This record gives sequence, structure tokens and C-alpha cells, in this order.
Amino acid sequence: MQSVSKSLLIGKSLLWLILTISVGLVQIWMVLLLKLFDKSIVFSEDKLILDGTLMFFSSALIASITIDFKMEHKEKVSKTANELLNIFPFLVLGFTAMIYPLLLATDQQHISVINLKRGEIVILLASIFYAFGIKCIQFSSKGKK
Amino acid sequence: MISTILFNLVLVSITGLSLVIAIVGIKSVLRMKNNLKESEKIAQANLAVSENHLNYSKSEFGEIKDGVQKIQNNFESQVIPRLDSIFQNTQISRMILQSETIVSMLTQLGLKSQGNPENNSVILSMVSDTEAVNFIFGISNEDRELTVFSFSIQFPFDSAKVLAEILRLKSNYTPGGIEIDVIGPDEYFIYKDSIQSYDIVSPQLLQYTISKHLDFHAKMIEVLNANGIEKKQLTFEDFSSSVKHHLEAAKDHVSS
Repeated sequence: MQSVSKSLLIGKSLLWLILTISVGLVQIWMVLLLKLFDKSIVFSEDKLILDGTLMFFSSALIASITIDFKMEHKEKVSKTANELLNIFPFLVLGFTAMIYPLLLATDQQHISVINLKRGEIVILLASIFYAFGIKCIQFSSKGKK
Repeated sequence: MISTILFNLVLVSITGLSLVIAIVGIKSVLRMKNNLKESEKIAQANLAVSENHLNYSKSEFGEIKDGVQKIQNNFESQVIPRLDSIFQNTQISRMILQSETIVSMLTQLGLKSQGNPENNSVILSMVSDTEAVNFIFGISNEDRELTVFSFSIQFPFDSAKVLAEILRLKSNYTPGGIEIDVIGPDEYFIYKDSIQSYDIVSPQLLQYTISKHLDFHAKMIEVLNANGIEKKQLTFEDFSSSVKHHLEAAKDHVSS
């Protein structure tokens, strides 16, 4: 009989998250690493935000984990939780899908970088919470089998 | 202005939803932990059985062993020859004999009673194949909560050891003293004090036991019918109906 402890499952979900973030944002880590050795490299947070890099990463994270969850796994969750799991990806993907074209169409001088930064960071954190929650459900379901 | 409010509103919704989903995930882990606690208890009990650590004094164990030996001798000298003449298929007859032996042994030791939901019971089911006898049985406490154990004895098994293990578990888990119900291969087994008690047994174990029981029963009926003894084939519906009947009787008893 398989026996998995609570802390091990949560740890496993966190490890999955850390690895995904490490690999998914490797380009940013590389820039930061190079910046340590070469002070002449300029790292512009504003440029990163205006490029929508974090939005793309969040969208990819949510899309992949949602598709995987819906197609490959048949974990049982409550009806309310299931509704939330259905709504969240559409909300985030819809939101980012609206923001990015606006970002491209608007003159950079008229963009509120502070608001945009807040938005992207919130979306990134929300994606991380979402991914963590889904992974917990998946791992706990596997642990029961 | 309105767009900023809307923008912030969406961000708050997204954050809230993601937090709720994270909490749902953590709760699913916590729920699983509770299930595992039960599974671990059963696994530990199974381990204890498989290790064959007998907590019997020499005199107690000797008494049981003598009784079992006497019954076995009697069974082997009188019953087996009669059954051998009935059954051509030695493999099947062996399976039946092994199960019958245990039922007979327990009956003569005063440990067998009819399947009756009116007492706090140990329920025991035996499923035999050509290699082993698999036991599954439950011990209910005074609160009518059931703990289910299982273990497997390879042929040729030591009947005294089997009995001793059952009695040891009985004495460990039921300080108030209870009766043991033994369900033979001809009878339909399992009744529980409540539907919830099924959670204690792992579904795989229960499913395995049921399927083995039905397989064994089907083979036995085949042999009996081939030898001109008419017996009704046990179907899954019969089995389910029997379980349902026992459950309802148990529930009526609890509610009264």
C-alpha cells in the first residue's frame, strides 16, 4: 500500500513549481547572472514589463497545466472547486489576451508602466498559486491510488 | 478612471480565485492524509500478521493446537475420503477441503456463529485458490466501528497458526469480548455496521476478495454440477443483494 505524507506531497508540488519557474524564466535568470559578471549590461525592468514576457510565461503555465489536468487526469474535486478551475484559466487568458494587443497598439509614452507591472506581477503570482493548487490535487490523487 | 477600477477589479478577482484554488489543492492533500492514516493502520496490522508474532503463552497456544490437531485428524480420516469420492477434480476438491477444514475447525472450537448483525462481530471470509488461502476479516468495537484485516496463508498452511493469529487480533482489538462469524465458501460474506465502514478496507482489497470469492464459487458450482449435484450459480447480483440485506439488517439494529 502506497503511503505518502502530507509534507512530501506539498514539497513535491513546490519542487515542481520551482523547477518550472527556473526553466520557464531561464532567459531572465541568464541576464541577471551575466549582469553579476558584467556591470555594463543594463537590465531594464520596464522593458521586461512592456515586452509582456511575464504574461507569456503565465499564459503558457496556465494553459499547459489546465489542458493536462482536463485531458490526462480524472481527479475528483467538488462541484464548486471544479467551477473555479474552469473559470480561472479563461479569466486570466482572456485578460492577457486583451492587454497584450492594447500594449502593442498604444504608444509607450501613454502606458502606465506601474499599473502594467502590478498587473503582470499579480498574474504571475496568481498563475503560481493556481499551478500549485492543481499540482496538489493531482499528486494527492496519485497518492491515493 | 473607470478602466483603472475595472483593471484592479479583475486583478483582485484573479488573485482571489488563485488563492482559493491553492487552498482547494492543499485541502485535497489534507483529506488524503486522513485516508492514509486509516490505510497505514491496516497496513501495520497486516504487517503484524504477516510477521507471525504470536502473543500467546505456551499453554494457551498448546491448547489451541491440540484442539485443532484433533479436529484435523477427524476431518482427514472421515470427511476427506467421502469428498474425494464425490469430486474427480482434485484441485477443486483441495480448495473446498481447505476452506471446509477451517470452517469445521472453528465451529468445533466454538468460534463459529451464524452471520448475525445483532452482535459485535468479527467477520471472516476465506478465499482459496490452488496456492493459498486468503483471509479477510473485520473486528468491530463497542461503537460498532469496523477495522478490517487481511492476510494470506500459503499451502500447506499451519491451521493452528491461523487460528492463533485470529485470536490474537481478537484479543488485542476487542477487550469486551466478541463472537466470530465465519463465512464458508457456500455462504455469502460481508456485512458491515454501516456503509461508512467500507472506507476502512482498501477498495482494491475488497474488489480482489470479491472477485476471488466469485471465481472460487463459480469453479465449485461447476464441479458440483458436473457431479450431478444441482447448485445455483452465484452471480454478482446475488452477492450484492446479500450484502445489501446484511447492511440493512445491521442498520435496523443500530437504529433500534
